[in-house]
Amino acid sequence: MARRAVTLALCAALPLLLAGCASNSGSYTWGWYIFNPLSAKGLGNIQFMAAGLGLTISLAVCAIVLSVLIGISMALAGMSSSRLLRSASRVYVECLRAIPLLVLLLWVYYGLPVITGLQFGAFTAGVLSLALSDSAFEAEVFRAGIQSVARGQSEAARSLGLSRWHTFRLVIFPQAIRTILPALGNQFVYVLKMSSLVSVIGLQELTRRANELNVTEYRPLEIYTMLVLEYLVLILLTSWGVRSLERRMSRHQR
Amino acid sequence: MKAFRILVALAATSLALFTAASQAQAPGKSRLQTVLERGTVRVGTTGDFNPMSIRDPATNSYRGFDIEAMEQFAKDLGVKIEWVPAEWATLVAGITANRYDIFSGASLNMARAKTVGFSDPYTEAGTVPLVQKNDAAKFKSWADLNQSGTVVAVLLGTVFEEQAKTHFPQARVRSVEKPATGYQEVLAGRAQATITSNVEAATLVKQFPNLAIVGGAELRNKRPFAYPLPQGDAVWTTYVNNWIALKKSEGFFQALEAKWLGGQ
Repeated sequence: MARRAVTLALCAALPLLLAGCASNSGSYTWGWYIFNPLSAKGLGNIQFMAAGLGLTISLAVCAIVLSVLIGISMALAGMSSSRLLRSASRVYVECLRAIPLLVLLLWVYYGLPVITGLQFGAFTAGVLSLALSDSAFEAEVFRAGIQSVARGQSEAARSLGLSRWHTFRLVIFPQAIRTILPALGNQFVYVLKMSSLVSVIGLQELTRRANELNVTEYRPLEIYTMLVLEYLVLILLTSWGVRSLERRMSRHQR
Repeated sequence: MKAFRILVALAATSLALFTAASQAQAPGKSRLQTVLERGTVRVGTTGDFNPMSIRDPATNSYRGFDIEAMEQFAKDLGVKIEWVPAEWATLVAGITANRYDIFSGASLNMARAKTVGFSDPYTEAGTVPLVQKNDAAKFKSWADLNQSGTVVAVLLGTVFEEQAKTHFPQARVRSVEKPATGYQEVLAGRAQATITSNVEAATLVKQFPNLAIVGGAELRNKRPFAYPLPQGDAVWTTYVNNWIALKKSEGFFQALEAKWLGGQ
């Protein structure tokens, strides 16, 4: 499976690289010299771009952790017996799902300080916006997963004397997670990709660095090709991680 | 469903009240005093405007005309400098949201001036045509370019697109979209000329030896560059203006122009 992912990555990356390296393809003269690892400048440029990996990854990881927590809480609230909690969860999901991430990001970074005086740094604002935006989708993913477990399961567990928490933790959740994971994996990839939007508030992650390098090198096509490859690697790794998690979770089913 | 509706109404009213209540701003203390007490001046900059504000890939620090000027400003003020990464599209929002005390320089624009303050101008930019060096003998002025058969490439949706249509009614103006650029079209021979600011042109001719600025063409669409500041802070604005006046008479900005803009 790992080997297949690698093959897949190469299949996707090769045509891009080949197209690029074949100089004078069409009427554009490619300038891959800006990423020549043998020259000091090229190596410097590669390092400059790759230095954004840390921020992109930590941004995505923090946002994913936070969004999973909010997502589960909202899903549980949405299925609770209290009408108020159910409505609150609905309002949350409907409102946050309706706000485009870019708008939310700009609003948290530039709007919130004016309205409330709260000055979040670019990183916090980025994590918060990504997590809020994604949690609304995740709440629905979790709800769908939990509701897909037949009602009889929880009734049986309860009649055996398990507490509500234990019913959820030991009976419902392990079954639900199998339905949840594939969709959740989608959301992880979504967060990772959407973290590129945080570049607009000045966080020096991968995309911001590509834009900045473009200003000194004037080679947008080469630089953005490099950026595509960076995201491709990150996302393939994420997909691979989610898939192996899926396999682990369904071990006992085989 | 009723509870849902009530909740929506509640959320909306509380947000509105919250917004209204917080509109009242902090008391009128000058930014100058705040900056001195803080010991740092927060300067917004984009890092995407060669050669005014650029991120150096080798050191990951900023450099350029505006950067040097602001470093001198902080030095003269006796405070440290804190760079705040900004974007052109949200330049005004950064000031109103109190993300920075001053922005490292932007062209004076009356639409912007409605919501942010501006200092006095510190330099001036204008539009110049760029052609291939081989064609430099053929094209010596704006009029030489305004001929049928000449193709002028400009980036779609930029001010230069509008300007090109005004300056070249006879020529064909071709708008290209990113990541294509006007100068790449000229280099590729698909257009004879492109227009851009003298600021960008100064860097482009350094980067691409095949490009040349049309020698006899005067600067058109001139616009002054000034420092965007918080609006309505007279003490801070006056301080910045006095600094600009002093530095102008010392020849500081002329030296920067010679260094970064090729003395234009």
